[in-house]
Amino acid sequence: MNTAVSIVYTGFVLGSIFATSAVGLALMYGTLRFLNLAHGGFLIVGGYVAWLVADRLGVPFYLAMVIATVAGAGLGLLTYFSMLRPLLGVGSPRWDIATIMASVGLAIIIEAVILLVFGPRLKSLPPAIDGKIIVGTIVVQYNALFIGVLAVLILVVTHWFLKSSRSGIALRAVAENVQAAYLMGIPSGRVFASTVAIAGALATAAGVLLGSFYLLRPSGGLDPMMTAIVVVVFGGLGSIPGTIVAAYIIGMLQAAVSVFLGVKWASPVLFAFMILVLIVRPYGLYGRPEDVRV
Amino acid sequence: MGVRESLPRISATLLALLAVAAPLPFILPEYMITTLIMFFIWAVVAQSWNLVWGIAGVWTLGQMAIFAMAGYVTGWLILHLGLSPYLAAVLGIVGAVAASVVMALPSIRLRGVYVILMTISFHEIFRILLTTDTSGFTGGIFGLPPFEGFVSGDLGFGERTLIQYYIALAMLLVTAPIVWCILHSRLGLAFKAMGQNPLYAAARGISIFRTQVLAFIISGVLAGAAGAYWAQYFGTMQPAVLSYDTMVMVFAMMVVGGWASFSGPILGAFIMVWLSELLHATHELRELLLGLVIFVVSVTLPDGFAPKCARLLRLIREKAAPPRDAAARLPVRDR
Amino acid sequence: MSDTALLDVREVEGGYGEYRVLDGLSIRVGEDEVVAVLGPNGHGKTTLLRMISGLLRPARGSIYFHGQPIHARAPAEIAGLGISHIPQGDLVFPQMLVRENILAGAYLRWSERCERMRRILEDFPRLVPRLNVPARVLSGGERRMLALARGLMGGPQLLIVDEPSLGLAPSVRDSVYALLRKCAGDGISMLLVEEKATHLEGLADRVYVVESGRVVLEGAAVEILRDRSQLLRAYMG
Repeated sequence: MNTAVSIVYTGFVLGSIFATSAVGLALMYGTLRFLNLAHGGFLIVGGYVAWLVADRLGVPFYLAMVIATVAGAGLGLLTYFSMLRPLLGVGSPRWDIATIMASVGLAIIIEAVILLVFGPRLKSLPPAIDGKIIVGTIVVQYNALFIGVLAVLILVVTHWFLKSSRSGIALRAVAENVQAAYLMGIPSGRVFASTVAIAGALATAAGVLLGSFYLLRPSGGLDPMMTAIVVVVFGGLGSIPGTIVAAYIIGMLQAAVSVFLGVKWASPVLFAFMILVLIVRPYGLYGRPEDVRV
Repeated sequence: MGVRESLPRISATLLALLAVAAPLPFILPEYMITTLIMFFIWAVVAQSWNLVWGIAGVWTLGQMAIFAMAGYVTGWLILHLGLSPYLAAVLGIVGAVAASVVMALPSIRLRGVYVILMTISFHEIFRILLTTDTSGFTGGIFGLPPFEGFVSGDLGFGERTLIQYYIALAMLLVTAPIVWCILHSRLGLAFKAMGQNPLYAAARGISIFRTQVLAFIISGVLAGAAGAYWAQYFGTMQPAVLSYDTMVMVFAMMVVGGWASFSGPILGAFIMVWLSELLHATHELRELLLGLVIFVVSVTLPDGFAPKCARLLRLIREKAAPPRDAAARLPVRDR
Repeated sequence: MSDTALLDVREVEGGYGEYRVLDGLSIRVGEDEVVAVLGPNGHGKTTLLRMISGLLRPARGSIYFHGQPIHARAPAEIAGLGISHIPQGDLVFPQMLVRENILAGAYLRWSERCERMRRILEDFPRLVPRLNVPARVLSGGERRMLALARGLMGGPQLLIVDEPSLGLAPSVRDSVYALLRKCAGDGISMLLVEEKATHLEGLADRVYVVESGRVVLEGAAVEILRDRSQLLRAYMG
């Protein structure tokens, strides 16, 4: 019983964080067909910016979160204008390869800059809330619970934005059919730019959440990015509701694997899971089969 | 152009390259020779990767796992069974091909980004299992303990490097023409057809299954040869070859040089090996500059350097010998 | 024909790459006018519409809307000027709900979206029970209705419809035409493209017949549609 509760609790917290970090990735892929391998860099930028303003300048946590998010949006815009816009219209295989490669370059740049600015030593974000309660044999940190709830809040706002706002509807329209969106008077350029900005903001926000959970190090974005990629694939590349459901399933799976097999197995099982998903249901939970197969 | 008609040209090119490369160890300082050895190794790996990714259009990121598999099998057999390095290397290549086929099969019905995700999963599982292995079988994060390669350790460092240089050179000069011939054969045509339009290729009677598995096998042999060479050259094998950084480096060779062309990966390997060598002098800025180069090249030259170089060569050739008639002025498609 | 043309296409040429589809084609649509372009398939009708809405750039010639040149503008800008193009194949957003599809059409008039949607849905009773399903599950007829509703949400001055009756069952086709008549009655100018002339009576004011990328016949709809033999001759060449 206790094990089950513990798995559900950990799974919920992990899943919420995974979902926030994966949604940004899914948005970029869904609208621009851009698999952002600098996503890990975005995550880690969020953590470091929050650390800078919260730990060094003593700004309260929620404000640090806002500042990190704004920085993420800025980073997203920078990515769009320096990298994606010049490549728009180069055609299918070129676009994919060039954007993937360029984003890898960007990831290296981000990591190198962080290493130069902050040094290699591990950093930790101050917890947003102190204290814990003990339920049965499980220690529930208030901070972890708070992070989980905050992640859900971010997801709810994102969901509302995509479902009901003008920019959100425009974004999804462009993602589904650029030409038809043009005919509605939706300017794709502005939508692309705002998508990347929003995805960047979501990624850095997720980075702050991750940073208050794990220690920060310059190369620390890689593993969470891999998890985010698995989540996005499982959800059906680019589908937002699919991504969120997938994040919770994978969060629970991670928690269960850590409990039953040990933390060492969390990553291999995750990747084995991805292989399985790609063999059995490559279009994921909510994807479209026609996107996948030869 | 058929393979047979171009045999004289290939042999001439090979002889010319050999004439240039053979005396180099006696001219250049030693650190350049070791850099050239790295170039030969990575050129073969980048070439093998491009065969699957660039030509056959299967976006695999599993190439470094194949490379590492060959190295580990080679090293393990030398260490634990005391096999001769040559036999171990051959078996290492067999291991690489097996790994390659294991990755080829489940990705046959996938395309594009999905293949990337499938193969990166294999790569990651392999890497994590290696680094977390504490049973002593693979040596975990420390890798395999030292063993003896092709060249006996009794020789001095300079002599060993000299011999290794020629072996590596031979590896590149043997594999490159083979790849060229494959690309210009019926099989190469099938690879290209599959890479450009798998549905159409299948409709024209090309078996996607057979073609893709063949591409992975050939590519596995090449990457395996490079991996086996790597293991015996360093006399050890470490999971660092599976690191993200190494993968990015080799992938960048293919992209910077120009994927989907024969000469692109070789050119890219040359550029990246020397670039990374040059950037050592910049110490802590090395990573930053490397990232910048990769970023700028992929944004400004999405096709890599090879097409640009080909155009330059053509211009020079036309300047030197103007075409006799107007027909020769018609644009020539990049190979 | 009115003197101040709403849409004035002058001598456009061009097509896809080397392949030239239009060969000096000129048409005009006046204020409050419904113009039909007839012609066999593959003779440049769709290409013409794509050029007007900016999806394709003419190699030569010019297009004016309200006297302003629009042939070099981006498609989203052209839509912003008040031209709504209902493309062939409808191009609905398949994963989005029907309601969201309609809302996407209101991008240019977002503040009035609820009011407009309520009013427009009165004319599309078939869509009302389907509002909360993804557009991909709609039938062909419902899809056409959705494309029309979506296209009207932006409040266009000129509605361009590519083969409104293509692939529809007769009863659905009749209701599509009834809707178009209503739009014409509401004062929306229209440019329709059709292969057959059968349903245009009482809707079109003027007709152009296009062949091999050129106008081969033009005139008042009453005359051209009545005189089938003339039309037939134009078709047969």
